[in-house]
Amino acid sequence: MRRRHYCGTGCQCQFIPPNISENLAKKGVEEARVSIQESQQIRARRSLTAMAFNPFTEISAPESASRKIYDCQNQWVQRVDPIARDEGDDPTDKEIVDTVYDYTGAVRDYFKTMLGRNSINDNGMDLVINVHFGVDFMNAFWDGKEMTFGDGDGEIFSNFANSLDVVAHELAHGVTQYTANLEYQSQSGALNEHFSDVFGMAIKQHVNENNAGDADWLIGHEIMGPALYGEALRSMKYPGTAYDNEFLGKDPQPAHMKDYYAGPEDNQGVHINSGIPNRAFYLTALEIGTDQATLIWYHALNKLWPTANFADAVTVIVEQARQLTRDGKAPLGSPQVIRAAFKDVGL
Amino acid sequence: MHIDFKTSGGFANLRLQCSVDTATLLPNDAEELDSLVAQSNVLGLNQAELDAVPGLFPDVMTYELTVQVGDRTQQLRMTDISMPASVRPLVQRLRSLAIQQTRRS
Repeated sequence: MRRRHYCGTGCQCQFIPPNISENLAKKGVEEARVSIQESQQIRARRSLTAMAFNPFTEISAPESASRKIYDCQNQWVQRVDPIARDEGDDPTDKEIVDTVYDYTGAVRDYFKTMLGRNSINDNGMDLVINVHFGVDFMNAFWDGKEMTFGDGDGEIFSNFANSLDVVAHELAHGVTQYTANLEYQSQSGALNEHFSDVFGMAIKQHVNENNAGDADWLIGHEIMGPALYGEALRSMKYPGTAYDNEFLGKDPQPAHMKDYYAGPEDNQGVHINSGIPNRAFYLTALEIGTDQATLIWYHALNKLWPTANFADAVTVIVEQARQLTRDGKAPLGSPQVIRAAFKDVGL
Repeated sequence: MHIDFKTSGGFANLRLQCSVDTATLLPNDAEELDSLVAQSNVLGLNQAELDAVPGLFPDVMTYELTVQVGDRTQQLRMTDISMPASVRPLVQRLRSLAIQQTRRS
C-alpha cells in the first residue's frame, strides 16, 4: 500500500529529489543549479530571524553599491547610529573607519572592473561595515547582510579591519552567498573559505601591484599583534607553515589531500582543508597570472552549487577554463595548468 | 565551581581553551568569576533557544562552555551571533584566562 507523507518539523520536501537536482547541476544544467539555490534560500528564509539574509528584498531593488561604515563604539551592537562614514563623505578623523572605507572601495572596484560584478549581489547592494565591534573582539565575520570587525586584543591580534585581504575575504563571502551559496561545512565550506582567500589575495596583489611571483601569498599577516610578529594566519603558497606559536598552536592546514582533516572541529575543517585548493590556486596563478586565474575561479563560482565538493570544483574550474580559453579570455593552456595544479594537491 | 571553555572557528580558526576551578583561585578572582557566572545566567539558558538563532555564517566563532556548580552541570554551545548579551562578559574573562593559561604552559 502506498504510504502517505505528512510534513513534520525540519521536513525538506522537494518535487524533484535533491540528488537528481545535484546531478543535473553537476552536468551544467543551469536551471537545476539555480533551483537548488532558490530552494535553499526559501527554506532558510522560513527559519531566519531579522538579523539574517533576505535575498528577495535585496535582489529586487537595484542599489548604488554605497559604502556604509558604522562605528560600533565597542558595543556588542551592529549599525550604531550615527553612521560614521557614508559613501562620498570626506575622510573622518578615525583611522579604522577611513581605512576600511578605502579597502571596501578597492574590493568593490576590483569586482566591477576585473570581473564585471556590480557589488556583492551583482545588483549594486550597499556595503555595510561595522568596525570597533565589542570589546577586544578577536574576529571578523559576514552574517548574511553585512560585515563586522573586531579590534583584536592588542596582543595576539590587532584590528581586523586593518587588513585589505581580511576585508576582501569577508566581502567575498557575500559574493559566494549570492552565487554558489556553498554550505559552510565540510568540503563545500572549505571551498567557501577558499574562494574568499582567493579574492582576498587577488585584490591585495592587484592593489599592491604585485605579481604571483613576488607576492607573499600570506593571509592575515597585517592583523598579527606584537606577540606574533612575523606570523600570518594562512599561507596559500605553503599551507601549514603560516604560524607556529604558543597562542595559536601550529598551522593545521594541509597542502595535499593525503593530509585531509576529517574531524568535527571548525565545521569539519572549513578553515583547515581550504589549504588544499589554496595551494592549487597558487600553482595556477604562478603559471598564468593571478588576475587570469581569479577570472576563471570567479566564473567557476557562478557555476557551483551549495553542496559542491572538491572534485566538483575541479571539474567546474577546468570547464570554465576551457570556455574562457575558447573565447580568448584565458591564456592557452590554462585548463592543463589547472589540471596539473590540482593533481599536485591530490585532486 | 568548575568551568571548561573552548573556542574554535572564526576568521583565524582561533582554538583557545581553559579549565578553571574556583577553589584553586585567589579569593578575589574566584569571587569575580562567581559574579560573572551569576550575571551571565548560563545555568538558566536553553541550548535549543541558542540553536534557534541562525549562526552558521562564514567566519563566525564558536564557543563551548561547561559550567559545573555542585551537582549541576550546564553545557552550552554558542556563536558570535547567538551569544546572549549577558554571557559576553563571562566569555571575555574566560578568553583572557585561556590566553594566560597558554602563556604559562
